[in-house]
Amino acid sequence: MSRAAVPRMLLRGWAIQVKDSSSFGFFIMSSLIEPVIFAAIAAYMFRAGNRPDALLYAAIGAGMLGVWIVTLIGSGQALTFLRHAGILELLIVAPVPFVLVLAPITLAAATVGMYSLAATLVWGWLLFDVPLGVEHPWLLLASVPATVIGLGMLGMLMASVFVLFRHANALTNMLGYPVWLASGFLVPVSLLPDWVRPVSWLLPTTWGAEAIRTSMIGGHPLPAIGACLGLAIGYFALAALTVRHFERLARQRASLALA
Amino acid sequence: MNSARVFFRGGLLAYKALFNFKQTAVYIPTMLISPAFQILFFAYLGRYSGLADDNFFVVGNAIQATAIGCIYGMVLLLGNERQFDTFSAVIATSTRRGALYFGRAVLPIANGIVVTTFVLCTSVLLLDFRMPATALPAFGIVVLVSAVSCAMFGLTLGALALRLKDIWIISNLSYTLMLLLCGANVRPAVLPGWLHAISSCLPLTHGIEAARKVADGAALSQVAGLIGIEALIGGVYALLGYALLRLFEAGDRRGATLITV
Repeated sequence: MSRAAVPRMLLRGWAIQVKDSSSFGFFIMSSLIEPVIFAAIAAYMFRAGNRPDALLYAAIGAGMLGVWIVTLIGSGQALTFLRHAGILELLIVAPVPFVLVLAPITLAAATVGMYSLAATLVWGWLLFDVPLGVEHPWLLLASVPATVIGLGMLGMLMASVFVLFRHANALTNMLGYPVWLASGFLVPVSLLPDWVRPVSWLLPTTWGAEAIRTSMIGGHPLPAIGACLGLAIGYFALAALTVRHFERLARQRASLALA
Repeated sequence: MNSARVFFRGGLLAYKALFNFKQTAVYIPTMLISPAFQILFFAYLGRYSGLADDNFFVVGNAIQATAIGCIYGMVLLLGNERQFDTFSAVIATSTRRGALYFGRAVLPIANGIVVTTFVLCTSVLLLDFRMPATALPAFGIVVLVSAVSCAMFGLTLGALALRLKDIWIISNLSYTLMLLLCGANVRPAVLPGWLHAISSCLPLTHGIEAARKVADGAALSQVAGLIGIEALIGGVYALLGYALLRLFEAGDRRGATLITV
Protein backbone atom coordinates (compact mmCIF):
# COMPACT_ATOMS: atom_id res chain seq x y z
CA MET A 1 0.00 0.00 0.00
CA SER A 2 1.48 3.34 -1.05
CA ARG A 3 1.86 6.15 1.46
CA ALA A 4 -0.14 8.45 -0.77
CA ALA A 5 -3.16 6.19 -0.33
CA VAL A 6 -3.18 6.53 3.48
CA PRO A 7 -4.88 9.95 3.75
CA ARG A 8 -7.48 8.90 1.18
CA MET A 9 -8.19 5.71 3.09
CA LEU A 10 -8.47 7.53 6.41
CA LEU A 11 -10.80 10.12 4.92
CA ARG A 12 -13.02 7.57 3.13
CA GLY A 13 -13.14 5.32 6.20
CA TRP A 14 -14.02 8.26 8.42
CA ALA A 15 -16.76 9.51 6.07
CA ILE A 16 -18.39 6.07 5.73
CA GLN A 17 -18.24 5.49 9.46
CA VAL A 18 -19.73 8.92 10.27
CA LYS A 19 -22.58 8.17 7.86
CA ASP A 20 -23.12 4.73 9.34
CA SER A 21 -23.09 5.93 12.96
CA SER A 22 -25.37 8.85 12.13
CA SER A 23 -28.08 6.41 11.08
CA PHE A 24 -27.79 4.31 14.23
CA GLY A 25 -30.62 5.17 16.64
CA PHE A 26 -28.65 4.47 19.79
CA PHE A 27 -25.86 6.87 18.74
CA ILE A 28 -28.39 9.54 17.86
CA MET A 29 -30.02 9.19 21.25
CA SER A 30 -26.64 9.28 23.02
CA SER A 31 -25.36 12.24 21.02
CA LEU A 32 -28.48 14.39 20.62
CA ILE A 33 -31.06 13.59 23.30
CA GLU A 34 -29.24 12.50 26.44
CA PRO A 35 -26.77 15.43 26.48
CA VAL A 36 -29.69 17.85 26.21
CA ILE A 37 -31.33 16.18 29.22
CA PHE A 38 -28.10 16.54 31.21
CA ALA A 39 -27.78 20.13 30.02
CA ALA A 40 -31.31 20.78 31.31
CA ILE A 41 -30.49 19.24 34.69
CA ALA A 42 -27.34 21.35 34.98
CA ALA A 43 -29.12 24.50 33.83
CA TYR A 44 -31.97 24.11 36.34
CA MET A 45 -29.47 23.35 39.08
CA PHE A 46 -27.33 26.38 38.21
CA ARG A 47 -30.40 28.59 37.96
CA ALA A 48 -31.92 27.43 41.23
CA GLY A 49 -28.51 27.52 42.93
CA ASN A 50 -26.07 30.39 42.99
CA ARG A 51 -24.75 30.20 39.43
CA PRO A 52 -27.30 31.52 36.96
CA ASP A 53 -24.37 33.06 35.03
CA ALA A 54 -22.86 29.65 34.28
CA LEU A 55 -25.42 28.49 31.70
CA LEU A 56 -23.00 28.61 28.74
CA TYR A 57 -20.52 26.68 30.88
CA ALA A 58 -23.29 24.11 31.51
CA ALA A 59 -24.21 23.88 27.80
CA ILE A 60 -20.59 23.28 26.74
CA GLY A 61 -19.98 20.85 29.62
CA ALA A 62 -23.14 18.84 28.92
CA GLY A 63 -22.21 18.72 25.23
CA MET A 64 -18.84 17.29 26.16
CA LEU A 65 -20.58 14.63 28.29
CA GLY A 66 -22.24 13.42 25.10
CA VAL A 67 -18.99 13.60 23.13
CA TRP A 68 -17.34 11.33 25.69
CA ILE A 69 -20.24 8.84 25.86
CA VAL A 70 -20.45 8.44 22.09
CA THR A 71 -16.67 8.06 21.83
CA LEU A 72 -16.74 5.55 24.67
CA ILE A 73 -19.45 3.42 23.09
CA GLY A 74 -18.33 3.82 19.48
CA SER A 75 -14.64 3.25 20.13
CA GLY A 76 -14.73 0.99 23.16
CA GLN A 77 -16.85 -1.50 21.29
CA ALA A 78 -15.54 -0.83 17.76
CA LEU A 79 -13.90 -4.24 17.42
CA THR A 80 -16.91 -5.96 18.97
CA PHE A 81 -19.17 -4.29 16.39
CA LEU A 82 -16.84 -5.39 13.56
CA ARG A 83 -16.77 -8.89 14.99
CA HIS A 84 -20.57 -9.07 15.18
CA ALA A 85 -20.83 -7.72 11.63
CA GLY A 86 -18.59 -10.59 10.52
CA ILE A 87 -16.00 -8.37 8.83
CA LEU A 88 -13.23 -8.34 11.43
CA GLU A 89 -11.36 -11.23 9.78
CA LEU A 90 -11.53 -9.55 6.37
CA LEU A 91 -10.17 -6.30 7.75
CA ILE A 92 -7.36 -8.06 9.62
CA VAL A 93 -6.15 -9.90 6.52
CA ALA A 94 -6.41 -6.80 4.30
CA PRO A 95 -3.02 -5.43 3.16
CA VAL A 96 -3.66 -2.16 5.03
CA PRO A 97 -2.20 -2.04 8.57
CA PHE A 98 -5.10 -2.67 10.93
CA VAL A 99 -4.32 0.42 12.97
CA LEU A 100 -5.20 2.50 9.89
CA VAL A 101 -8.52 0.68 9.62
CA LEU A 102 -9.34 1.33 13.27
CA ALA A 103 -8.31 5.01 13.35
CA PRO A 104 -11.12 6.33 11.10
CA ILE A 105 -13.68 4.31 13.07
CA THR A 106 -12.73 5.84 16.41
CA LEU A 107 -12.26 9.30 14.87
CA ALA A 108 -15.76 9.00 13.42
CA ALA A 109 -17.17 8.09 16.84
CA ALA A 110 -15.63 11.27 18.31
CA THR A 111 -16.95 13.26 15.35
CA VAL A 112 -20.51 11.98 15.82
CA GLY A 113 -20.07 12.83 19.50
CA MET A 114 -19.62 16.46 18.44
CA TYR A 115 -23.31 16.51 17.50
CA SER A 116 -23.84 16.66 21.27
CA LEU A 117 -22.03 19.93 21.57
CA ALA A 118 -24.07 21.42 18.74
CA ALA A 119 -27.28 20.07 20.30
CA THR A 120 -26.66 21.48 23.78
CA LEU A 121 -25.53 24.88 22.45
CA VAL A 122 -28.61 25.22 20.23
CA TRP A 123 -30.82 23.99 23.10
CA GLY A 124 -29.31 26.58 25.48
CA TRP A 125 -29.76 29.35 22.94
CA LEU A 126 -33.36 28.40 22.15
CA LEU A 127 -34.70 27.67 25.62
CA PHE A 128 -32.45 29.48 28.07
CA ASP A 129 -31.31 32.49 26.02
CA VAL A 130 -27.71 31.42 26.42
CA PRO A 131 -25.66 33.76 24.22
CA LEU A 132 -23.74 31.94 21.50
CA GLY A 133 -21.00 34.49 20.97
CA VAL A 134 -17.59 33.04 20.19
CA GLU A 135 -14.61 34.91 21.58
CA HIS A 136 -11.99 33.23 19.34
CA PRO A 137 -13.78 31.77 16.26
CA TRP A 138 -10.59 30.67 14.48
CA LEU A 139 -9.30 28.96 17.56
CA LEU A 140 -12.68 27.25 17.99
CA LEU A 141 -12.22 25.88 14.48
CA ALA A 142 -8.92 24.42 15.68
CA SER A 143 -10.26 23.28 19.07
CA VAL A 144 -13.00 21.06 17.67
CA PRO A 145 -10.79 18.91 15.38
CA ALA A 146 -8.08 18.80 18.04
CA THR A 147 -10.67 17.42 20.49
CA VAL A 148 -11.94 14.91 17.92
CA ILE A 149 -8.38 13.72 17.22
CA GLY A 150 -7.53 13.51 20.94
CA LEU A 151 -10.66 11.53 21.76
CA GLY A 152 -10.36 9.41 18.62
CA MET A 153 -6.86 8.31 19.57
CA LEU A 154 -7.86 7.55 23.17
CA GLY A 155 -10.81 5.68 21.66
CA MET A 156 -8.43 3.62 19.54
CA LEU A 157 -6.46 2.63 22.63
CA MET A 158 -9.72 1.68 24.38
CA ALA A 159 -10.87 -0.33 21.37
CA SER A 160 -7.72 -2.41 21.36
CA VAL A 161 -7.71 -2.96 25.13
CA PHE A 162 -11.44 -3.53 25.62
CA VAL A 163 -11.56 -6.24 22.98
CA LEU A 164 -9.58 -8.47 25.33
CA PHE A 165 -12.46 -8.30 27.83
CA ARG A 166 -15.50 -10.37 27.11
CA HIS A 167 -17.78 -7.84 28.78
CA ALA A 168 -16.45 -4.62 27.28
CA ASN A 169 -19.94 -3.08 27.43
CA ALA A 170 -19.80 -3.23 31.23
CA LEU A 171 -16.59 -1.18 31.17
CA THR A 172 -18.20 1.39 28.90
CA ASN A 173 -21.19 1.57 31.26
CA MET A 174 -18.86 2.24 34.16
CA LEU A 175 -16.58 4.86 32.61
CA GLY A 176 -19.17 7.57 31.92
CA TYR A 177 -19.51 9.45 35.20
CA PRO A 178 -15.88 9.08 36.41
CA VAL A 179 -14.53 10.71 33.24
CA TRP A 180 -17.24 13.41 33.36
CA LEU A 181 -16.04 14.26 36.84
CA ALA A 182 -12.31 13.98 36.19
CA SER A 183 -12.54 16.10 33.01
CA GLY A 184 -14.23 18.99 34.77
CA PHE A 185 -17.13 19.11 32.29
CA LEU A 186 -19.65 20.53 34.75
CA VAL A 187 -17.74 20.63 38.03
CA PRO A 188 -14.28 22.24 38.20
CA VAL A 189 -11.60 19.66 38.96
CA SER A 190 -10.35 21.93 41.76
CA LEU A 191 -13.45 20.93 43.78
CA LEU A 192 -12.51 17.26 43.63
CA PRO A 193 -9.90 15.49 45.78
CA ASP A 194 -6.31 16.45 44.86
CA TRP A 195 -5.42 13.04 43.44
CA VAL A 196 -7.97 13.52 40.63
CA ARG A 197 -5.98 16.40 39.11
CA PRO A 198 -3.09 14.34 37.61
CA VAL A 199 -5.67 11.89 36.23
CA SER A 200 -7.50 14.77 34.54
CA TRP A 201 -4.27 15.92 32.85
CA LEU A 202 -4.04 12.56 31.07
CA LEU A 203 -7.50 12.84 29.56
CA PRO A 204 -7.96 14.57 26.19
CA THR A 205 -11.52 15.28 27.33
CA THR A 206 -10.14 17.72 29.93
CA TRP A 207 -8.11 19.65 27.37
CA GLY A 208 -10.74 19.41 24.65
CA ALA A 209 -13.40 20.88 26.94
CA GLU A 210 -10.96 23.56 28.10
CA ALA A 211 -10.02 24.44 24.51
CA ILE A 212 -13.64 24.72 23.35
CA ARG A 213 -14.72 26.57 26.48
CA THR A 214 -11.94 29.17 26.33
CA SER A 215 -12.45 29.59 22.58
CA MET A 216 -16.08 30.44 23.21
CA ILE A 217 -16.11 32.20 26.57
CA GLY A 218 -12.66 33.77 26.46
CA GLY A 219 -9.17 32.88 27.63
CA HIS A 220 -6.18 31.15 26.07
CA PRO A 221 -7.18 28.01 24.15
CA LEU A 222 -3.80 27.36 22.51
CA PRO A 223 -2.15 25.48 25.42
CA ALA A 224 -5.21 23.23 25.72
CA ILE A 225 -5.24 22.59 21.96
CA GLY A 226 -1.55 21.72 22.14
CA ALA A 227 -2.09 19.39 25.11
CA CYS A 228 -4.94 17.67 23.29
CA LEU A 229 -2.83 17.04 20.19
CA GLY A 230 0.18 15.98 22.28
CA LEU A 231 -1.94 13.42 24.10
CA ALA A 232 -3.32 12.27 20.74
CA ILE A 233 0.21 11.45 19.54
CA GLY A 234 0.93 9.58 22.78
CA TYR A 235 -2.30 7.60 22.63
CA PHE A 236 -1.75 6.80 18.94
CA ALA A 237 1.68 5.35 19.73
CA LEU A 238 0.26 3.29 22.60
CA ALA A 239 -2.71 2.17 20.49
CA ALA A 240 -0.41 1.09 17.63
CA LEU A 241 1.38 -1.21 20.08
CA THR A 242 -1.77 -2.61 21.65
CA VAL A 243 -3.48 -3.13 18.28
CA ARG A 244 -0.44 -5.08 17.05
CA HIS A 245 -0.49 -7.11 20.28
CA PHE A 246 -4.21 -7.83 19.86
CA GLU A 247 -3.69 -8.86 16.23
CA ARG A 248 -0.83 -11.20 17.15
CA LEU A 249 -2.79 -12.80 20.01
CA ALA A 250 -5.87 -13.25 17.84
CA ARG A 251 -3.83 -14.92 15.08
CA GLN A 252 -1.99 -17.17 17.57
CA ARG A 253 -5.13 -18.29 19.38
CA ALA A 254 -7.37 -18.28 16.32
CA SER A 255 -9.85 -16.38 18.47
CA LEU A 256 -10.72 -13.54 16.11
CA ALA A 257 -14.31 -14.55 15.51
CA LEU A 258 -15.03 -15.51 19.11
CA ALA A 259 -17.16 -13.26 21.28
CA MET B 1 -50.38 -23.47 43.36
CA ASN B 2 -49.45 -23.50 39.68
CA SER B 3 -49.77 -19.70 39.49
CA ALA B 4 -47.54 -19.26 42.54
CA ARG B 5 -44.96 -21.52 40.88
CA VAL B 6 -45.11 -19.55 37.66
CA PHE B 7 -44.88 -16.29 39.61
CA PHE B 8 -41.75 -17.20 41.60
CA ARG B 9 -40.01 -19.91 39.62
CA GLY B 10 -40.95 -18.44 36.27
CA GLY B 11 -39.66 -15.07 37.42
CA LEU B 12 -36.38 -16.64 38.50
CA LEU B 13 -35.98 -18.55 35.23
CA ALA B 14 -36.75 -15.44 33.18
CA TYR B 15 -34.16 -13.51 35.18
CA LYS B 16 -31.53 -16.19 34.61
CA ALA B 17 -32.26 -16.43 30.91
CA LEU B 18 -32.97 -12.86 29.89
CA PHE B 19 -31.24 -10.42 32.24
CA ASN B 20 -28.07 -9.35 30.40
CA PHE B 21 -26.36 -7.92 33.49
CA LYS B 22 -26.45 -10.97 35.74
CA GLN B 23 -22.79 -12.02 35.42
CA THR B 24 -20.65 -10.58 38.19
CA ALA B 25 -18.25 -8.97 35.70
CA VAL B 26 -21.16 -7.01 34.24
CA TYR B 27 -23.32 -6.59 37.33
CA ILE B 28 -20.70 -4.87 39.50
CA PRO B 29 -19.62 -2.16 37.00
CA THR B 30 -23.11 -1.55 35.62
CA MET B 31 -25.45 -1.97 38.57
CA LEU B 32 -23.22 -0.92 41.47
CA ILE B 33 -20.23 1.19 40.43
CA SER B 34 -22.02 3.30 37.82
CA PRO B 35 -24.86 4.45 40.14
CA ALA B 36 -22.34 5.10 42.92
CA PHE B 37 -20.47 7.45 40.57
CA GLN B 38 -23.81 8.95 39.51
CA ILE B 39 -24.35 10.05 43.12
CA LEU B 40 -20.79 11.41 43.39
CA PHE B 41 -21.27 13.35 40.14
CA PHE B 42 -24.52 14.99 41.19
CA ALA B 43 -23.36 15.62 44.77
CA TYR B 44 -20.32 17.50 43.46
CA LEU B 45 -22.47 19.29 40.88
CA GLY B 46 -24.77 20.24 43.75
CA ARG B 47 -21.86 21.59 45.78
CA TYR B 48 -20.66 23.63 42.80
CA SER B 49 -24.11 24.98 41.93
CA GLY B 50 -24.83 25.75 45.57
CA LEU B 51 -28.30 24.26 45.19
CA ALA B 52 -28.39 21.93 48.18
CA ASP B 53 -26.29 19.81 50.51
CA ASP B 54 -25.07 16.25 49.87
CA ASN B 55 -28.08 14.69 51.64
CA PHE B 56 -30.45 16.12 49.02
CA PHE B 57 -28.57 14.51 46.13
CA VAL B 58 -27.67 11.26 47.90
CA VAL B 59 -31.25 10.50 48.92
CA GLY B 60 -32.69 11.63 45.57
CA ASN B 61 -30.25 9.66 43.45
CA ALA B 62 -30.30 6.61 45.75
CA ILE B 63 -34.07 6.27 45.30
CA GLN B 64 -33.73 7.05 41.60
CA ALA B 65 -31.08 4.31 41.39
CA THR B 66 -33.78 1.68 42.04
CA ALA B 67 -34.68 2.40 38.41
CA ILE B 68 -31.44 0.81 37.23
CA GLY B 69 -32.67 -2.51 38.60
CA CYS B 70 -36.37 -2.04 37.98
CA ILE B 71 -36.45 -0.37 34.56
CA TYR B 72 -33.55 -2.17 32.90
CA GLY B 73 -34.62 -5.40 34.59
CA MET B 74 -38.21 -5.28 33.40
CA VAL B 75 -37.35 -4.03 29.91
CA LEU B 76 -34.80 -6.82 29.46
CA LEU B 77 -37.00 -9.53 30.99
CA LEU B 78 -39.83 -8.69 28.62
CA GLY B 79 -38.14 -7.11 25.58
CA ASN B 80 -35.55 -9.87 25.28
CA GLU B 81 -38.31 -12.43 24.75
CA ARG B 82 -38.80 -10.82 21.38
CA GLN B 83 -35.08 -10.28 20.72
CA PHE B 84 -34.32 -13.95 21.49
CA ASP B 85 -37.36 -15.21 19.52
CA THR B 86 -38.88 -16.86 22.59
CA PHE B 87 -42.01 -14.74 22.93
CA SER B 88 -44.07 -17.11 20.81
CA ALA B 89 -43.32 -19.96 23.23
CA VAL B 90 -44.31 -17.75 26.17
CA ILE B 91 -47.69 -16.80 24.82
CA ALA B 92 -48.40 -20.31 23.63
CA THR B 93 -48.61 -21.42 27.27
CA SER B 94 -51.94 -21.64 29.03
CA THR B 95 -50.56 -20.10 32.23
CA ARG B 96 -52.33 -17.20 33.91
CA ARG B 97 -50.85 -14.06 32.44
CA GLY B 98 -50.85 -12.14 35.73
CA ALA B 99 -48.49 -14.64 37.35
CA LEU B 100 -46.42 -14.88 34.18
CA TYR B 101 -45.79 -11.15 33.76
CA PHE B 102 -45.86 -9.83 37.33
CA GLY B 103 -43.63 -12.67 38.56
CA ARG B 104 -40.89 -11.16 36.46
CA ALA B 105 -40.91 -8.06 38.63
CA VAL B 106 -39.78 -9.80 41.83
CA LEU B 107 -36.04 -10.00 41.10
CA PRO B 108 -35.79 -6.57 39.43
CA ILE B 109 -37.43 -5.10 42.57
CA ALA B 110 -34.94 -6.95 44.79
CA ASN B 111 -32.18 -5.73 42.51
CA GLY B 112 -33.33 -2.13 42.77
CA ILE B 113 -33.29 -2.36 46.56
CA VAL B 114 -29.78 -3.85 46.53
CA VAL B 115 -28.54 -1.01 44.30
CA THR B 116 -30.10 1.63 46.57
CA THR B 117 -28.61 0.03 49.69
CA PHE B 118 -25.18 -0.16 48.08
CA VAL B 119 -25.11 3.45 46.92
CA LEU B 120 -26.33 4.70 50.31
CA CYS B 121 -23.49 2.82 52.02
CA THR B 122 -20.88 4.19 49.60
CA SER B 123 -22.30 7.70 50.11
CA VAL B 124 -21.78 7.40 53.87
CA LEU B 125 -18.13 6.55 53.16
CA LEU B 126 -17.43 9.06 50.38
CA LEU B 127 -19.72 12.03 50.98
CA ASP B 128 -21.17 14.09 53.84
CA PHE B 129 -24.27 11.94 54.01
CA ARG B 130 -25.81 11.10 57.35
CA MET B 131 -29.21 9.71 58.29
CA PRO B 132 -30.40 8.88 61.82
CA ALA B 133 -30.58 5.13 62.47
CA THR B 134 -34.14 5.60 63.75
CA ALA B 135 -35.19 6.67 60.25
CA LEU B 136 -34.05 3.41 58.66
CA PRO B 137 -37.29 1.35 59.03
CA ALA B 138 -39.44 4.10 57.50
CA PHE B 139 -36.79 4.73 54.84
CA GLY B 140 -36.81 1.02 54.01
CA ILE B 141 -40.58 1.12 53.46
CA VAL B 142 -40.23 4.13 51.14
CA VAL B 143 -37.51 2.32 49.16
CA LEU B 144 -39.67 -0.81 48.85
CA VAL B 145 -42.77 1.07 47.67
CA SER B 146 -40.68 3.15 45.25
CA ALA B 147 -39.01 0.05 43.82
CA VAL B 148 -42.35 -1.71 43.29
CA SER B 149 -43.83 1.39 41.68
CA CYS B 150 -40.80 1.79 39.42
CA ALA B 151 -40.92 -1.88 38.44
CA MET B 152 -44.53 -1.43 37.34
CA PHE B 153 -43.42 1.51 35.19
CA GLY B 154 -40.73 -0.88 33.88
CA LEU B 155 -43.51 -3.37 33.06
CA THR B 156 -45.14 -0.75 30.86
CA LEU B 157 -41.83 0.08 29.17
CA GLY B 158 -41.09 -3.63 28.81
CA ALA B 159 -44.41 -4.09 27.03
CA LEU B 160 -43.48 -1.26 24.66
CA ALA B 161 -40.04 -2.84 24.20
CA LEU B 162 -41.78 -5.85 22.65
CA ARG B 163 -42.62 -3.57 19.76
CA LEU B 164 -39.18 -1.96 19.35
CA LYS B 165 -36.08 -3.04 17.47
CA ASP B 166 -33.66 -1.56 19.99
CA ILE B 167 -34.68 -2.12 23.60
CA TRP B 168 -31.72 -0.11 24.91
CA ILE B 169 -33.08 3.17 23.56
CA ILE B 170 -36.27 3.03 25.61
CA SER B 171 -34.51 1.93 28.82
CA ASN B 172 -31.62 4.42 28.57
CA LEU B 173 -33.88 7.28 27.62
CA SER B 174 -36.35 6.60 30.43
CA TYR B 175 -33.59 6.29 32.99
CA THR B 176 -31.96 9.55 31.91
CA LEU B 177 -35.27 11.42 31.75
CA MET B 178 -36.07 10.29 35.28
CA LEU B 179 -32.87 11.99 36.46
CA LEU B 180 -34.43 15.26 35.31
CA LEU B 181 -38.10 14.71 36.06
CA CYS B 182 -38.35 12.73 39.30
CA GLY B 183 -36.83 15.34 41.56
CA ALA B 184 -33.61 13.43 42.19
CA ASN B 185 -31.52 16.49 41.30
CA VAL B 186 -33.93 19.32 40.60
CA ARG B 187 -37.08 19.94 42.61
CA PRO B 188 -40.09 19.41 40.29
CA ALA B 189 -41.43 22.83 41.34
CA VAL B 190 -38.46 24.44 39.54
CA LEU B 191 -39.39 22.80 36.23
CA PRO B 192 -41.75 24.40 33.69
CA GLY B 193 -45.44 23.59 34.24
CA TRP B 194 -45.70 20.89 31.59
CA LEU B 195 -42.59 19.09 32.83
CA HIS B 196 -43.87 19.39 36.40
CA ALA B 197 -47.13 17.76 35.30
CA ILE B 198 -45.26 14.85 33.69
CA SER B 199 -43.07 14.58 36.77
CA SER B 200 -46.07 14.13 39.08
CA CYS B 201 -47.30 11.20 36.95
CA LEU B 202 -44.00 9.34 37.09
CA PRO B 203 -42.94 6.78 39.68
CA LEU B 204 -40.24 7.80 42.20
CA THR B 205 -41.19 11.50 42.26
CA HIS B 206 -43.29 11.11 45.42
CA GLY B 207 -41.04 8.39 46.76
CA ILE B 208 -38.02 10.70 46.56
CA GLU B 209 -39.93 13.48 48.33
CA ALA B 210 -41.02 11.07 51.06
CA ALA B 211 -37.50 9.66 51.43
CA ARG B 212 -36.02 13.15 51.86
CA LYS B 213 -38.55 13.95 54.59
CA VAL B 214 -37.90 10.66 56.37
CA ALA B 215 -34.13 11.21 56.16
CA ASP B 216 -34.72 14.64 57.74
CA GLY B 217 -36.49 12.99 60.68
CA ALA B 218 -40.16 12.84 59.64
CA ALA B 219 -42.22 9.93 60.97
CA LEU B 220 -43.76 7.38 58.63
CA SER B 221 -47.24 8.74 59.35
CA GLN B 222 -46.15 12.18 58.14
CA VAL B 223 -45.25 10.82 54.71
CA ALA B 224 -48.07 8.28 54.43
CA GLY B 225 -49.83 10.46 51.84
CA LEU B 226 -46.77 10.60 49.59
CA ILE B 227 -46.19 6.86 49.93
CA GLY B 228 -49.85 6.27 49.09
CA ILE B 229 -49.60 8.37 45.91
CA GLU B 230 -46.40 6.54 44.94
CA ALA B 231 -48.19 3.19 45.40
CA LEU B 232 -51.20 4.44 43.44
CA ILE B 233 -48.99 5.54 40.52
CA GLY B 234 -47.35 2.10 40.59
CA GLY B 235 -50.80 0.50 40.50
CA VAL B 236 -51.83 2.55 37.46
CA TYR B 237 -48.65 1.56 35.60
CA ALA B 238 -49.22 -2.09 36.59
CA LEU B 239 -52.65 -1.99 34.96
CA LEU B 240 -51.36 -0.10 31.93
CA GLY B 241 -48.41 -2.46 31.44
CA TYR B 242 -50.57 -5.54 31.83
CA ALA B 243 -53.18 -4.17 29.43
CA LEU B 244 -50.50 -3.37 26.83
CA LEU B 245 -49.00 -6.85 27.14
CA ARG B 246 -52.39 -8.48 26.62
CA LEU B 247 -53.15 -6.11 23.75
CA PHE B 248 -49.85 -6.84 21.99
CA GLU B 249 -50.28 -10.55 22.62
CA ALA B 250 -53.73 -10.50 21.04
CA GLY B 251 -52.42 -8.39 18.15
CA ASP B 252 -49.57 -10.82 17.56
CA ARG B 253 -51.95 -13.78 17.51
CA ARG B 254 -54.35 -12.01 15.18
CA GLY B 255 -51.72 -10.70 12.78
CA ALA B 256 -49.40 -13.76 12.97
CA THR B 257 -46.56 -11.35 13.80
CA LEU B 258 -45.09 -13.25 16.75
CA ILE B 259 -41.56 -13.44 15.42
CA THR B 260 -41.46 -10.09 13.68
CA VAL B 261 -39.02 -7.66 15.29
